[in-house]
Amino acid sequence: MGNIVVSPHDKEGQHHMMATPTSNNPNGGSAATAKNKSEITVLLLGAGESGKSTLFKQVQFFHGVGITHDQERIELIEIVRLNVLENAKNLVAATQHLNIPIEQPENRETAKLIINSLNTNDLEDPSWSKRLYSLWKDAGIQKAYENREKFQLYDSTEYLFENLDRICSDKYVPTVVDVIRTRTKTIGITDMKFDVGDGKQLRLVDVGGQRNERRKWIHFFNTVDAVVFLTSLSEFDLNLYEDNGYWRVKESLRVFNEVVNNALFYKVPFVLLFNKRDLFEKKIATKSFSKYFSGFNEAEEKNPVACIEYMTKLFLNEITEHPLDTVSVKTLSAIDHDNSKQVFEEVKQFIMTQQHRE
Amino acid sequence: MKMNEYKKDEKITTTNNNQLSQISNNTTTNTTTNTISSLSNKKINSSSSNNLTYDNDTESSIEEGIYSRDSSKPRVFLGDGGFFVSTRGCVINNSIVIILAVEAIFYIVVEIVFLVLSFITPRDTWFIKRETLVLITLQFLAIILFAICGFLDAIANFTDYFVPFGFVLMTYSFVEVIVCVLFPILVYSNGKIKNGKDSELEQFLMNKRTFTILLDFARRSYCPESVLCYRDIERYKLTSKKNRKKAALKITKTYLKTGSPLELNFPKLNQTFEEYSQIINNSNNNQSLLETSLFESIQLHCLDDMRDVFDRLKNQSKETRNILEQWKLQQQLKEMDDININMNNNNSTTITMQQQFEDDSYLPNVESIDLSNINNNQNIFKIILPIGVFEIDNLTI
Repeated sequence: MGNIVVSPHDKEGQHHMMATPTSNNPNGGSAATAKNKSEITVLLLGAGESGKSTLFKQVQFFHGVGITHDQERIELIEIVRLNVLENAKNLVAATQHLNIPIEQPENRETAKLIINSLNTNDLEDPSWSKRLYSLWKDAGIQKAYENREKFQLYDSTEYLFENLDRICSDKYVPTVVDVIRTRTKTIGITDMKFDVGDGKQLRLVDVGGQRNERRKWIHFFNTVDAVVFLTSLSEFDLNLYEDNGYWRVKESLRVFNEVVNNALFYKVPFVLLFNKRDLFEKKIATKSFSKYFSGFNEAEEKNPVACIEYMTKLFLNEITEHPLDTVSVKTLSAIDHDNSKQVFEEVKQFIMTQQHRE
Repeated sequence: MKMNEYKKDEKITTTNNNQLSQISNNTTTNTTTNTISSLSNKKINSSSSNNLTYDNDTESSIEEGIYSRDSSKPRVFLGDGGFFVSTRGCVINNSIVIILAVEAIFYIVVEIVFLVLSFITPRDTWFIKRETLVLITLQFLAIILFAICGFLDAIANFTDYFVPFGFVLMTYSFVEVIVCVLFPILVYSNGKIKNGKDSELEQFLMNKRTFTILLDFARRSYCPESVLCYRDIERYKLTSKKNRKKAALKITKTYLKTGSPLELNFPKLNQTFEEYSQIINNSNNNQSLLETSLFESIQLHCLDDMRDVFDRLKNQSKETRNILEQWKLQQQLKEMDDININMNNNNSTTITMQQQFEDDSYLPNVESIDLSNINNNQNIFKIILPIGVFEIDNLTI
């Protein structure tokens, strides 16, 4: 994969958007830009479903790229609807798997159709909005949803089902929030560039988080100027997508350890973002946090600040090589537009001041 | 079949000959009327067998014309006496058998060639292969019924008491219409067409030029594995049974093994790899295990994974967007053409039906059909309904 041929269409496409894949030759073009300090490359790293792409989409949105225009969001109808179908399928499959029967007979009929024949075009029919919503409200499905830590389900499930009346219509145009909320597994590496003042450009690189995707990160390691590592706070009760039975927090800690202690990053500013704070606060209200962490004081388990503090310690303990004064820790709720704008601004400031100090 | 008829005809001829000898004193006209009456007294089967072989008649009449010019040449199709001997049905002689055999062999060869072609074809969106298999089986059965059982006088004669034995072949052609026309229409009009239609992405992958665009883009954003895997599975489906094991092993080793450079982003990869390895290793004993659909779920997963890359490609390459736009236009044009053809067909049926109504104005009960209804309503149902009524009236006459 080292020899990458750049075909003519690459250049042709560059005018359409600011975010373009630059020729990612690790030894060629990028090495040159590393010397050229007008470009700051920031990597978004983290395990699967930690919110890297959500933050990436938000940043794109602040900079008027991609999803700002109706026309470009229309292209994403298919993906939003696929998300609805996948969520519905996963829930129905889970009722089977967990042995929780769907209660209403008509909902059982709907479930059968979802598994066997329903496709995204069918969702143009508004009658599906009622049927899917009634399925969602079925006691069996709700019970399965309460036990969602036992199977793989997207975080956006509830949001999508509550917005079915908009989605199941032939006039549907996804809103920015819809697009931010939908989950697409990132494959490979993608990047975008934007101006940050002082004649400098920031190049934000988004990557896939699953195990096989992580091996691709290394292509960027030697050109990096800052690392933003994301981890999901709400994953404390979840198992991995790629290896069901493996605790997500353990995986995140392991990946964090590998990245933060990598010799290439000793001198690089490092930001640790605890994402999905909104989901986390909802989750600890109903679920026991201390059940998963033996070292945690049970009395404090309903206090989000204490929990996050504990998680921070857990992660910072992994740092053995990297100088601690160039590590910054923040919490984030990437689906919240204002919050991610504010946090990203802080991250940018942190990185810029670190760059100056050098 | 021919032999059988020939035998029957021979019987008839002999009886006729007897009659002929009996009434030899009478005038020729009398003989003819007599033979005709005696023929009609015979069982209907003789007339039905005449019906079945009437296709010889054109050839016979041409031959009769030639013969009348130059009577020195022997006749090919007809027996002694030529066309105008009405005392017998058809005649089988060696030259007819040879001609029919050559004709049959020609058609069999054509059929075999098309059979082979249909089984080499990789894509079978409309399940033509299955259909062909069913038809061939039916054809075989019909031939066995007709050609072999036809030789057993007991069976053939007994059947003839109820229905003419020649109906076996007619029934076969009727079944053929049901299997190849009626059944597919019923099944596919049931909304299954939607699932058979390829998505934009699949179309993009099937086309050689666009495939290269996608692969190149995927390579540059470090995710060629799903594109390559999709291609390799597509190739696997085309691999001969002999090499299939090798191809399957290659796919599992390249894309499903944890740690391989082109490992897929797949949940529980280890487990999947083990499952596939087991199936492939077991295939030594049982060849049928390695079906073309073996990797179906993996391929679907590849398509799923490619969605992300494909969206990025669409966003970033103007060329891709143009190509897709063009395809969409072509698709729309095609759909519009289809609608136009349908509409034209409907119009033409109405016109011909109207003409028929006018021409057959002597038919009784015509008044009971609302003609104005046909003229005013463009709706297909309303056009079809009067036709149905019309046909029923026609039959009752």
